[in-house]
Amino acid sequence: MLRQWHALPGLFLALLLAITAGTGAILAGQAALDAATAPVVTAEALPLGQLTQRITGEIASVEKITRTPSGRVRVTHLENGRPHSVFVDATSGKMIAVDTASPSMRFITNLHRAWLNGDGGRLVAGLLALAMLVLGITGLLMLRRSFGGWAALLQPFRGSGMRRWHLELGRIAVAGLLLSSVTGLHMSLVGFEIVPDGASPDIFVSASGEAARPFEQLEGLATVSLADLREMTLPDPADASDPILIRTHDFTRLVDPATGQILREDRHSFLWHVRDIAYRLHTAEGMLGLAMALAISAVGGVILSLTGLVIGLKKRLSGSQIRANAPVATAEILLLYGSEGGTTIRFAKALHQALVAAGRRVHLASMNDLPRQSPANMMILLAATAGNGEAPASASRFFEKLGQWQGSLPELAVVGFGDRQFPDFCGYANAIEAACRARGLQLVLPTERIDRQSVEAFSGWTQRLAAHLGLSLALSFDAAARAGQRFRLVAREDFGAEVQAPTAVLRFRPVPHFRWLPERLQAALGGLPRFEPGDLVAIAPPDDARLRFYSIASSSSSGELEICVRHQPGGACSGYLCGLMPGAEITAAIRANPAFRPDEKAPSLILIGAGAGIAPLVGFVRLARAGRPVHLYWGGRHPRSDFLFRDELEAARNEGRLTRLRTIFSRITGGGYVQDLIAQDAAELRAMIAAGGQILICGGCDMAEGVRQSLLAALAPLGLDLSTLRQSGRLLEDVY
Amino acid sequence: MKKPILALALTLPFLAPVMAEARPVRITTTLNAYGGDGAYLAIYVTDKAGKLQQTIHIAGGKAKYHKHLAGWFRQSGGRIDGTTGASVGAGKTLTVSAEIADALIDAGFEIRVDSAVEKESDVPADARIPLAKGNVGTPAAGRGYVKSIAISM
Repeated sequence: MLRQWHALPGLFLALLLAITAGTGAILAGQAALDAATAPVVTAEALPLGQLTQRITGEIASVEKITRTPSGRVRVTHLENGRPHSVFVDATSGKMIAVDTASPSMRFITNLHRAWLNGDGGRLVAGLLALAMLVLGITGLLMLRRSFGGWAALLQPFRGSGMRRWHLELGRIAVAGLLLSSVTGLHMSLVGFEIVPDGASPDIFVSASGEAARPFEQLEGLATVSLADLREMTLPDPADASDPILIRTHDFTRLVDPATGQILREDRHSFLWHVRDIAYRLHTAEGMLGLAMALAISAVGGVILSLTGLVIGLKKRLSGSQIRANAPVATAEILLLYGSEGGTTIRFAKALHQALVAAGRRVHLASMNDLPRQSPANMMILLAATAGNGEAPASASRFFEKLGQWQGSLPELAVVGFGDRQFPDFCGYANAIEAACRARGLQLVLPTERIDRQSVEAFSGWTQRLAAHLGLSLALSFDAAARAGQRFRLVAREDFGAEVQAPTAVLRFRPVPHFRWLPERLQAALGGLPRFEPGDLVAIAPPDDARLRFYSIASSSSSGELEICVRHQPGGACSGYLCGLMPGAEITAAIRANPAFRPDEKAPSLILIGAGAGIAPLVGFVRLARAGRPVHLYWGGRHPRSDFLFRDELEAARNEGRLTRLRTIFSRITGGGYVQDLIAQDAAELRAMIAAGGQILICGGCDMAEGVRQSLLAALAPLGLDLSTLRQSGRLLEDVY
Repeated sequence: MKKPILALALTLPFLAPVMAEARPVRITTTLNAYGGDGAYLAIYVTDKAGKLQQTIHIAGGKAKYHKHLAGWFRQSGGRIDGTTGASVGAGKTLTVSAEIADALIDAGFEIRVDSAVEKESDVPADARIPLAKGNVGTPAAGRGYVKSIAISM
């Protein structure tokens, strides 16, 4: 709810707000400049009557004398049929400088307050002030909610990119922006007469009409000092009954220019002072510190508007908004995710969708957004593990929130996501399970620990949940992927048909969400997917909900998504993909796979794979830093049939980007498997690994098991085992 | 000074059937190109001493700013017995027509224009031109935002 109050006005008004803030920054900067260069008004300034006498002696047809908030004395007079303003010396009354309101500043002022367009523009400006107020307050509340208490606002934030900028700037600029919006809103309300301006009633009195005396002899002026003056309007020379009008901080006074008597004096009302303070705080005229603070926060406002716009657009382009999310107050089920890279969110969304489709009211939120209470009778936690059993980013404050829980105790189900390669598999899920039990929550299903985003395992758990709830749940990952990305097949190459291992290398280009937007802009907004070799692409064939993952060989910067698909006998998805012809479109979603990437610091890379497992490895070869040894071990069936990427790999070897290309084929005489190569090169590999080399394995389970055995044997003299290598990140596997 | 009006007021009811003692007067006010927002104007008839006789036109829609047309406002209290219209932009010309009693013509009365621009100056009696047939075709200059005023009848 809060988020929507922040996101909707932010998204629709971002550009207008940026202009309002930008012009505001220029005006505040100008006010700061004025205040910094203003003369110091000495206490022994002349009495007002005497000064007026001197000014009128220097300048003809004086209409008005104003003391600006920065302490200058401005005289407005009529010259050559036009009003002119000059600044004068506060003692001599002599002109110092011409007050040149430049056309550009006038334009900016007009743009800021009325969009160059009278009352309609003023209304827009007023509504923008209201929007800025709403954005400031909701933004603060969101910050407090996600960081827990106001004190946390002073601590450094985690996070990166646009969001980080938005948060950092938000907390710096919010005070100034709130002040500007509140005062601006008040000025707007006064302008539209919704709030009274507190001015004294318009009762005019006439002067005696006798001949005017010199100003210094007028008693009504003698009691006003220049320091108190706001403005003084001198009488119309053609009208002897026109009195002198003096406005100070405290009162408005009419003085007879002939007798010097005070004809009328109205003390300013409370509302006048409110309006006056609002005006002064908004314009910051004459207040250097405030003007600078407002200028800085207004610049912050421009960037906040734009980063907010980008964040909002990204969210919508990537289709990550949640459909039919029930509010906390009426939810039957709280479905909370703790996600680090965004994968767990996708599982959570798929489950949310399935539960909603089954007629349940489900509130989906991050674990950091655990409310204090909820009528929900079930709480489901889906939690990834970051690093060594640590909380993922969106669950960093879950334990604290759990401690603040005041509702009744709902039933609990926990699903952990992790990677069996790491020692503390699903460590964070174990920790939350323990904490929730300690809090008195009852587990109604055994906690499921899911290895590397296994859709099968999650589907199985979902069926157990369905049985518990007495529902029929259909998880449709295809629906989640549908919000993802369309790709069009642009090229395919076929291998291996002769050796009963039909394999296709498929190259796709992403189809932009909005075909009319330039591609660069789409990419900048996140409308085009980003991926690196080793990331996964999730694809489901039509009429099949189950997703299959394929390793990506290319980087998104190349503009193409390249995968290698082995046509499994009877395989629904591989059959679907291998049947595609160039021009066909598929729906797919990218799954980042940061756990399977070469370590930039490793002195050498040892890439091991078989069959279609070559895909990420060839991508790593493409990206390899010049000068770092890269050794590729790969096994196929027959060099004339299924030697995938042969030309490219041989070219890389000849150019020196690939240090060594070791291949072996199983269907030729004297052939063998890739693990045989490992055994042959054991001594060499041992030396490289001892020196800190990194091993990346990609391929089928059987191959991986064989390779592990060979590696173990090769490493035995070093006293190293594979789990030690895994823990230090020097052995990575992508095995299927 | 009030006599002509008073006489008119007293005799008008009796003379009504036979009289046509008012005539249309066209007043053209041209503003300087002072380069700011539109000006509020009050166009009204006064005697020589500036006493309000008749409001002809108030240009500028917001009543709360009318007090800045000080010469007119001080006497009228903001009551408008003439026409009203939008404020007049810098450099623009406003032409208004009004029925003015014959008794006010060639009898020492004049047309005055007060002008005011928001956040800038208020210029009471910015422009003045005697209501005399002899002035038709000879515009008078203003001292503030008004460049010139001309009458035709």
